[in-house]
Amino acid sequence: MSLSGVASIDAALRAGQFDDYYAEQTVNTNAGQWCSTWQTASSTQFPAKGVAPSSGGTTYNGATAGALNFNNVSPSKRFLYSFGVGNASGMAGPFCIMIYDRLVGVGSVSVASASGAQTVNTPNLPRYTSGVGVQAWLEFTTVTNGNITLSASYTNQSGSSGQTTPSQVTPTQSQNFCAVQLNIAPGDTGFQSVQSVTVSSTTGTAGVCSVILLKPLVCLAIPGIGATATQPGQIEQNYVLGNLVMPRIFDGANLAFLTNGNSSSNWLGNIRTVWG
Amino acid sequence: MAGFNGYDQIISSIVAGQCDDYWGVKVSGANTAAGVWHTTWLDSGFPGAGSAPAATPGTVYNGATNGSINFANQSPSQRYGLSVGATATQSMTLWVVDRLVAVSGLSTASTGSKTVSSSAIAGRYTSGAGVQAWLEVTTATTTTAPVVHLLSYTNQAGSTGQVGAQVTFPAAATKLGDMIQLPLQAGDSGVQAVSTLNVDTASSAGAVNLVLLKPLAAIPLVASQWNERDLVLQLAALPRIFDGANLMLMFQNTGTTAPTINFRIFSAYN
Repeated sequence: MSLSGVASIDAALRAGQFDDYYAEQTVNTNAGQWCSTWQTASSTQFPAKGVAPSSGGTTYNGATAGALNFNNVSPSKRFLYSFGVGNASGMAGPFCIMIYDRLVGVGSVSVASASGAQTVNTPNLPRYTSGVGVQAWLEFTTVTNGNITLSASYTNQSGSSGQTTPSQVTPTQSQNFCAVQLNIAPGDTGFQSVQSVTVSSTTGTAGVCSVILLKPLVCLAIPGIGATATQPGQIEQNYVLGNLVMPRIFDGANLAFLTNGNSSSNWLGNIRTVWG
Repeated sequence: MAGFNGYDQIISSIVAGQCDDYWGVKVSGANTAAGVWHTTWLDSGFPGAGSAPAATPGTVYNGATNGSINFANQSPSQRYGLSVGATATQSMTLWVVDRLVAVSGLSTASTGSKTVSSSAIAGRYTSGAGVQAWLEVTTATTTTAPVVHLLSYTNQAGSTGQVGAQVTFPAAATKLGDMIQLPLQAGDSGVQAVSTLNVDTASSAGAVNLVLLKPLAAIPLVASQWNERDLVLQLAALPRIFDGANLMLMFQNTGTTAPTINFRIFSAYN
């Protein structure tokens, strides 16, 4: 049955047309900065951690190690129904967790010095192929030790190459896997691909990153709840009746997490999707 | 029939792909003092920075203007905002507004009447009902906090020659990007156009844009904590996003540290 309203979604749930994915992640945060959990090392992490994209480029799909993935359901359509997180030991917030679809990436991009354009050449997008709404992020795999001023050359949502992101300064990261979103040129609404990254100046001597193209789906707020065993925290958002956004999860989606907060924590939670 | 006649129809539209999810970021500047409003129009990020408006009669904004948060036109379908979410590095109140018309080059460095003669609002809110007039600082003021008022404007009923009350800038030294709302004449509920702005007390330096805008949604933010408001059931506001809407963010910071704002605006149409 196709989804056409609350009743049909309810019927789909009762018919078993849903999947629950129980995830557990470690949140390593740098105050005020986004951090990726893609390569976060944790023995209890689920899904297990992924690896950095290759220097030649990686296209992400549901079969990629590290992906939070769901079976294909075409011709049906799958949507995110709810996302909830909690921790029996409490969570030291506040922070937020973004679920995104990780599309493509290129690793081993050095930003350690102002040495000209670093070739990136991300692969073709496997989903959201127009690039509309697709964001470009730098995911640091070797920490920087200074502020880096950089820009990137890219192809926009209209297929026009040679676009240049406005120059921006990335802050020093104190730990790996912090992530910085690239600005976009006025008038553009997304990235089809990134061709190069150029460091114009840096106050440091280190830094290696991956260039990731991704599509955000939802963000969940985790308020400061407490850090004692007697104060468990549970936050859940329903995307049909609580906040009607119902993001589409395409076949082959490679879901992953970005976090933004002031302290490190461990969370476990459930992502429910429904299809019809 | 265009528009939505119920919750299920909104769900059907989302399932059919008749929706757009705009995720962006703005790296903004610092405001003068806690509680002072600040624009993000000239800030980099996603979308990229907008440009300064033209001098009188100004710039009329539409979705194709660089710097706008925009959605593709869908007429005869109607588009509505369903959810607004954001997180910022500073605690603030964040507004999503439709930037309609702006006129640059208004000096606060001398007293007297300043010609605005703003262009007519085009394509949406043409009656002026609910449209607000704001000043946007483009050259920092110095020495003396300017005192200004709308000397002549056309209200939501088409009545010309309306006169607004005075407002004093929040400080002698206001920063680039600060915004000051202009009071209207008692009884008025909107602005169609502005003819003149009067500087009653001048600063030693300073210039502003006059901006006509329509607020669509507001969301309070605690630093580094995502907040999202459902505009269908939580607030039942369902703001209309007209074809050609030129959305932008403005914020009221609780401090004076420059913020970075990550946001999303989700809309659907039918």
